[in-house]
Amino acid sequence: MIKVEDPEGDPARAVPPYAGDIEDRERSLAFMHFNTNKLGVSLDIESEQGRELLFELLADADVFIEDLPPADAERLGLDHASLEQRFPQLIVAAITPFGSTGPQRDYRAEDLNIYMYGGDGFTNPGALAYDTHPDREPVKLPYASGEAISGTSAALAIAAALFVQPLVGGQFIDLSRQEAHVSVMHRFQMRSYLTGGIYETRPTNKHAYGDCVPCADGYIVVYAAQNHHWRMLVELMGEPEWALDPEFETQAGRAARGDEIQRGMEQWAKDIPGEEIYRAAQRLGAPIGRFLNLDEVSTSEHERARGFFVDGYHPIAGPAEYPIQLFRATEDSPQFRRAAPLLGEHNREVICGRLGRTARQLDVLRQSGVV
Amino acid sequence: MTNDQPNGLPRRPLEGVRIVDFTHVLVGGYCSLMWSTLGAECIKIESSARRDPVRTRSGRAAAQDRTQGQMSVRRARGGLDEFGLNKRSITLNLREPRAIELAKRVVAVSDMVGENFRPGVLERRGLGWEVLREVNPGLVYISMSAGGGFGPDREDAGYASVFAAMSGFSSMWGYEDGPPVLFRLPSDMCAGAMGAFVSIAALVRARRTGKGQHIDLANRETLASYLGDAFLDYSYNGRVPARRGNRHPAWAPHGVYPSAGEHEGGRWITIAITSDEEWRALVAAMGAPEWAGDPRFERVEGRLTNQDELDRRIGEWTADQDGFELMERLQAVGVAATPVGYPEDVAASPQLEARGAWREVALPQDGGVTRWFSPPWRFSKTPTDILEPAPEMGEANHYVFCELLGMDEDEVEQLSAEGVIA
Repeated sequence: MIKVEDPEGDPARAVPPYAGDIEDRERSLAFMHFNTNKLGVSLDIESEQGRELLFELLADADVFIEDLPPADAERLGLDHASLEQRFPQLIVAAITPFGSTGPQRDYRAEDLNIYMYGGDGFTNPGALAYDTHPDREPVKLPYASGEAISGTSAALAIAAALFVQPLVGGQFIDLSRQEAHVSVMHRFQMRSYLTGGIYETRPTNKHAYGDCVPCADGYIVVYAAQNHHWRMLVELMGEPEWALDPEFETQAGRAARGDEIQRGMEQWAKDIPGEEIYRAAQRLGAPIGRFLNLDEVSTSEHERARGFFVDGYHPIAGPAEYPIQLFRATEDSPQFRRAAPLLGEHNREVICGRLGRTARQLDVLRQSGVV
Repeated sequence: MTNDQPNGLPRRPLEGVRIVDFTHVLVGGYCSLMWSTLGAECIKIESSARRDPVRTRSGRAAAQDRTQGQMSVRRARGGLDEFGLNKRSITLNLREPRAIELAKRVVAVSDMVGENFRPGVLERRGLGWEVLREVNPGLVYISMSAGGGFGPDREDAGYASVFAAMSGFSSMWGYEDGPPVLFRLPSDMCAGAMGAFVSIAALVRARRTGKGQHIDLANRETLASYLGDAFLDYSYNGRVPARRGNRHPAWAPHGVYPSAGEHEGGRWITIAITSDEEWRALVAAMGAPEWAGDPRFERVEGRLTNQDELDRRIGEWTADQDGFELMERLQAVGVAATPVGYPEDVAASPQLEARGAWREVALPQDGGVTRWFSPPWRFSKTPTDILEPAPEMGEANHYVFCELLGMDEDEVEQLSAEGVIA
């Protein structure tokens, strides 16, 4: 992966927090995480010379991924129509807010806008956060996760295009982030609406009880809709009198008095640490979990045993554990091979080493601001 | 039947790939929906002894169930009608040793196996990786589970809401000053999409090298990886990251504001300002009110520091305006603004309509027709599409057992009668 940045740097480099809390374009944690294992080249693609270097890189590439506004891609000759003649083997993936076609293709949108317009923002928060803040606005997905959802959809399409590349050569993949959100986040509500004319909003986006129960040191989630799960829960709570009400023996009976059950559970859980509840529940086979904070995930025995966190080293920020090994495979588990590139870190390696420019030519390109 | 286009090219990207699909419910169901819409032949393994719960339940009916204590009369369609699109179905009772042998024979003529049982379930049936790699050396085999196939919590009972909480994701979601937000059903889709990506990447490698592999994907870790930057904050700075609400660490204003109109969930507009230039465009669009000229708001640092007041002022301006009209006005001056979209808004979106995002598909059983949402990509040469409605259970028994495996019809009938193909 060769990341091509503007000489000013990817805007993500200016997003806090920073490693060591030192404001520095090489220390943005958002940039560092999402660019692990890439080489980095800084090129001004607004200049003709910069674009020519980019085209030389494309001649030897399998995939070109870009997220320029569609009109800019066309203006710069980086759109599908311009590239397909010149690079017939190249897979071009355009990742844009609303896609490369259609009446809203030039609309601007960031992660917040896209999630709220295409995702299930209207259902969140539900449950406890809604009950405590009923007058507040809908709330977006945390951090950059909404962008990661679109990115995963793009990655899977690109993998499929690579699969068929030996037969058909290159092609254009037009990914709309809005559509990715409808597909992943909005699917259930959309289906309910299309086939039944109904859907959930914030007041109704919850189970009758158990979605978010405060405990001594945080929150637990209790999934106990089905009868056998409910019986496990009653056992776990030590069979309190209120829970033995015969009406609670059926799913419908419990749903009708969900608030009562929620209050009973809160009363039971309030003095017990979450870890204790979670362990005891799982021994019984009850689907109960904790809302782990990120330090708890980072230090959990489970993630330690699985090696989700991998030792990494960044030349400026130093060593740290990176959360990147999200699967284990018999051949190709994810690895930390290199830290996110410093701005222009691999200009020489790529422009001289791969594109055959001399050191003097590179100096000239640098002086003219192309690199 | 040939699936080639008139020019001889494959019609869809995964045309010719055959997948033995042991997945069920939603993580696996969404993953294999990606495979099937990309053109793979997904052979769903079902059994009348153990039906996929999505065949009989629909999400919204369950919601009515829990909020009103009874099934809604307006029961929504769903479940497999959507998750089974483009898939085939055969019936095998995996409690029968002869069914296990048949499953192996299907694997032998396939490219990939996918499953999302609790760890160990398929191994105990004799269909684990170590066995199936002998049956088919080039096989890609993906297992998806809540916590992954090894590690102390591997046996955890894990529905979407439970593994999302255990991933750290849910604790990061919510208002800065409120409790966490439970990430419910869509977390299944996130994990399923990651499963589809990773498995297709492994297919690319298998096609190039002849070498298959087993992938053990933990849903918890998929969700955790989406918060990588927040984990690095703990890793590099020792800080436990906090919930951020709708705010952005580098941009302001960045929020969801009330707009005019009636709706049980309220009407809202989102605005994200990423530069001082965009801020000036917003101020002009607001008619340059006096408060907006306050020097504290001139540059992003000041806007970030004074965000409470800024958000209150903007909310007062947006409150009596229609969100869709406001979007048009703000987009015209280069400001990122969209309404909060309810299902009826998404269904009526001129953008999605123009891009052909909807497909009319016949509903099995009652002969009705509905619209489903297409996959979110447009491939220029091998377009993906929804071509077939969800299969009836066992509709492909003849195709798979007789045509692919060469069994004769009497044998298949006999095995059906004996509860093996059933």
